[in-house]
Amino acid sequence: MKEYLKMAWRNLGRNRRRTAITTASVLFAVFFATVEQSFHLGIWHNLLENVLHSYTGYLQIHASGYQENKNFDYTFPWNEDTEKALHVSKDIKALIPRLESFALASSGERTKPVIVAGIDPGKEYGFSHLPEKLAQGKMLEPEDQGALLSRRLAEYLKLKVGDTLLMISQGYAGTSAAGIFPVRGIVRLPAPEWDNQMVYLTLPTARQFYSAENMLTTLVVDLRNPSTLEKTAGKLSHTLGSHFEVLTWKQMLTELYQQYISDVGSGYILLGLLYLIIGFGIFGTLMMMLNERRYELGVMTAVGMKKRKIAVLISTEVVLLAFLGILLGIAAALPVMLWFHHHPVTLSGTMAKTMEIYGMEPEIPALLEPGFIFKQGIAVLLLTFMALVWPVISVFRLSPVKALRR
Amino acid sequence: MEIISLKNLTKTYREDSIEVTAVSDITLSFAEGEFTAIVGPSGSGKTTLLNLIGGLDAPTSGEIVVNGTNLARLSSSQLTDFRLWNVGFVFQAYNLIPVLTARENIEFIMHLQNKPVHERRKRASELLQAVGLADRAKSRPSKLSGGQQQRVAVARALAPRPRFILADEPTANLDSHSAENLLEMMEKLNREENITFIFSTHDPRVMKKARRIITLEDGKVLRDEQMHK
Repeated sequence: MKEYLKMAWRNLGRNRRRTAITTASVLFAVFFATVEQSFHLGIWHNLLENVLHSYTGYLQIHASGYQENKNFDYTFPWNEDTEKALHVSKDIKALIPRLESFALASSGERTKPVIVAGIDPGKEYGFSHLPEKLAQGKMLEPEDQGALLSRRLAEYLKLKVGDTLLMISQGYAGTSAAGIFPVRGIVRLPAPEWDNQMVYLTLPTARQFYSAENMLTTLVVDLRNPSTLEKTAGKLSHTLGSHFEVLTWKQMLTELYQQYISDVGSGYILLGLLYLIIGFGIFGTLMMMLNERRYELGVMTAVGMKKRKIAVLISTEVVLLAFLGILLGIAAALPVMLWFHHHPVTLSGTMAKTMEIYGMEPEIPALLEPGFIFKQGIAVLLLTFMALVWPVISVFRLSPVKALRR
Repeated sequence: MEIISLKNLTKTYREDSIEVTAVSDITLSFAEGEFTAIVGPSGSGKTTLLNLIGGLDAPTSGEIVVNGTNLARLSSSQLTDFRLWNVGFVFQAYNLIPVLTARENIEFIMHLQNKPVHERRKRASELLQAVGLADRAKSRPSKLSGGQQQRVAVARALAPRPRFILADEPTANLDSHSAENLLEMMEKLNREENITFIFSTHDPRVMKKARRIITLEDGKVLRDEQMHK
């Protein structure tokens, strides 16, 4: 193999200009593809981080059937021992317990159906950074008997900090639930659908309201690295067994996931076109190279070199060329990605305002993740192998007599 | 001792729907240690005959037996192996691998034969010495003159100690001095190492050195003469 590498490397040096042009075309393709993907995925990463860390989380654990029928028939008991047992993976950053249900909220002459979330303030604030969204008043304390309202809901019910919220609902095991809660604070939630209907209570207060002692409806699982989502979901599902359902955000926020898939997919189509052009570039170079060296390859076959070995030699040359382009492309893209990862593009004007309203930072950061950078390299290598198919067939069909005829 | 035997050898090509008979019903044999020139005008079938003997091309009919092996029965891959282990080729010109040095070119076929490095090095040094190019071992073909390139080509052909060497107009692109030197060198190797040389040529200098001259015309043997030297 060493001999092939040596010959392949020297062959690349034979027509330096052509080698440089082909390497440059691969370099630019990898550079643009990597940077484009870095921003494209960076936007989504930012969006998902904001959306998922505002409430849903990457993973949720429920009693089996809860996702389909969100009612108190699908609660499960929860204590610290169970929590410890669930730390099955080092990828799990935190477990955030919730008791979630619905209620009819009222103030004065106005009523509105609302989502009630019973939360553990310490854990919830660490996960969803709720305090950063506080618009008025103060956050709930661990033993607080009051409520935290979303801004639009408070506006609709004409409630201010210090006012009293009245809620009625159906509690655990068919009991009636009714309570009054002083408004401690108002938060501005990113998504309007949440901002229109959220009421936060502390977990003990919610349990008391719904007569659901020690029960939970939801356990949000926060991950250290989102790329471990499927793996962690599988592990948890295995540990918990069939009485529980472990759902990823893709299963819970299906519309968002579809949007993500179609957007990322259309990005891949564009990349595919870019790579197709590069593929033809490599193919053209290869065919030119083969044509120029027809006599030489004829001599090699004549003196006893197996066509298989000639094919390996040609392939080594092209793979070396591709590798060179890939490495240089990634080397050129990395500083750009690093810079924009640490110094995101800051948006201004209406776009920035819209993002801020949705609770998102008005900036586009570049995603810096080895996975997709590696994929660019693999894509170019795959294209190289595809471009090699016909030239390799040509080598196997090479007739030494014809090749030696000038 | 006979090493090559051709029996009723015929080769026809089809070019633009016209059938061309390049070699027609040739029966010949070659003994070990021969220094033979195949001569004839262009299109007489010299190169085709060499290609057939070297297993580069397959006959339309007839038999080529080399050391008891009938080449017509070998597959393409077996023919490649046959060429690797039995035949040394010298072509008209530019037949060295341009990215390899003179020494690496000589070692190339031995490398294909998976000969150990030390053996390759030793043989290449011997041959570089024999062809008078020991001081150009590290030069690439582009840095060598036409005559020097052909010397390296002969050394490469000799490196794996083949049974015979087929040289297709080896002096065609050389000046008279280089051609003379090359011929003397090949004659010496033939005399001292008993290597069989079969040339195709137009060159009177080659014919002068040859001990046997086979004249072809229209794909047929016109004369087969032993020259007494």
